[in-house]
Amino acid sequence: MNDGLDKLSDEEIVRQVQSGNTDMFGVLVLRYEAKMMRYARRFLFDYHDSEDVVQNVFIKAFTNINSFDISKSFSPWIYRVAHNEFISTIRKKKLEAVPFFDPDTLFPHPVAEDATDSFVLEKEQRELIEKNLNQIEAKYREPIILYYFEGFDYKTIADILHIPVSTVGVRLRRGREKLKKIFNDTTVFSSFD
Amino acid sequence: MNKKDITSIHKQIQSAIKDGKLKMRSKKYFIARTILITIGIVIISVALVYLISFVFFVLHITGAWELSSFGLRGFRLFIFSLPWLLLSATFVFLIGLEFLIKKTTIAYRKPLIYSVLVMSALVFLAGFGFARLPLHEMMYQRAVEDNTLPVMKSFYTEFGQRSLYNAHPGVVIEMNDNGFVMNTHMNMPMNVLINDKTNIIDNRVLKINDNVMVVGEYKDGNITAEAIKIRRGGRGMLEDHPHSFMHR
Repeated sequence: MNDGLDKLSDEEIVRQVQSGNTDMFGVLVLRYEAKMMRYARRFLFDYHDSEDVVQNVFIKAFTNINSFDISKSFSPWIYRVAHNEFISTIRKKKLEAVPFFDPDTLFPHPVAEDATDSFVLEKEQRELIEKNLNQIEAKYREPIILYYFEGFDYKTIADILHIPVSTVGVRLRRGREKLKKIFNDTTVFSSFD
Repeated sequence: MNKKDITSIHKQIQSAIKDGKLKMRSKKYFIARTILITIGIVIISVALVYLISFVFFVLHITGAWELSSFGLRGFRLFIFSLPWLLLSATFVFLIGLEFLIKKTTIAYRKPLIYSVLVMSALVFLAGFGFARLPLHEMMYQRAVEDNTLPVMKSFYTEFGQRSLYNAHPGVVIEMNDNGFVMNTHMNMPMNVLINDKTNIIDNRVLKINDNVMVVGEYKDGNITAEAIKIRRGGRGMLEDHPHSFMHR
């Protein structure tokens, strides 16, 4: 990628792709490929060849690029495409149960945004969490990945998962509780509350 | 992740685009999709308003509304007499509407209950307002009396003339020593037996041509009345129909 392209925002590149300069889509692939692979490997583990799934993410992104509104941020949009593709893979392969309706999205939950951000987690904690993510359900696993590993805030996660902002808080809290139970060691997660 | 993974995806996507194997959906496709969803929302909303207004109409025309003034027993009968099929259809339409609204808007950011409540309140109010127009009465009249409603005839006759559970609306046509004879909505005379336990709501004196609602068990052509209420007059429509809540 040359310096000129580096200066271009994702949204500007999408605008060019939408205008017919389809070669520019390659720049987006290069920018997001590593992120998508990381996201897929954490979310899907050994379930499936992550490379195939990520390739499908980019195919879907390219096919539907004209539905993207360039006045918005591109990153949550491509993560939304990835989320749909990952969930679809899990369902197709019957890898685990992913219900179509979650009662947590029905009622409001008074959950304030966590004061601890993803970067505060120690390396040891991150490794432990990552190693044990496969032991918690997809609906709790995904917000933990997006919040602690991808560094998104509650509102962006809500936009990616299409769930209420308060439900993001509930899922993160429950996901943490489940991880704590797995380790049965609160000291490891003292800064994880 | 190794470098090979990154480059292989990039290369495959790029070559698929170059070879024309991968095609973008046009903007028109997404505009058409949005228009279709919007049309879907409008159609379901109109159907919902119609259904809800029809439920109000059915409750009025069958007299089920009046049952709530018969105390706890009346309330129980009212619940039994609700048009559950129509209410179930309303529920299904509401789910469909919620699904479409969530698909096109950022309504997902707020808990589901908010959008469900707002949407239900809006269609309920619109349905209530629509029920006050004479459309259903005119359709009912055409279906039942004039027989000039080809498609919707069975819809209006089936729901408009349905019997209530242990509740019988009718018009008093004859007074006698045991009670009275009333003409039901099926134009069938029915004996109503009054005894010491019969509760005549508001203690009004019954007379011929009174439009009444009788609560009691029907057996061998007689209704042993537990409670009787003289029904209110209405909006002046369907005066000839003995079953109508509008009948004076």
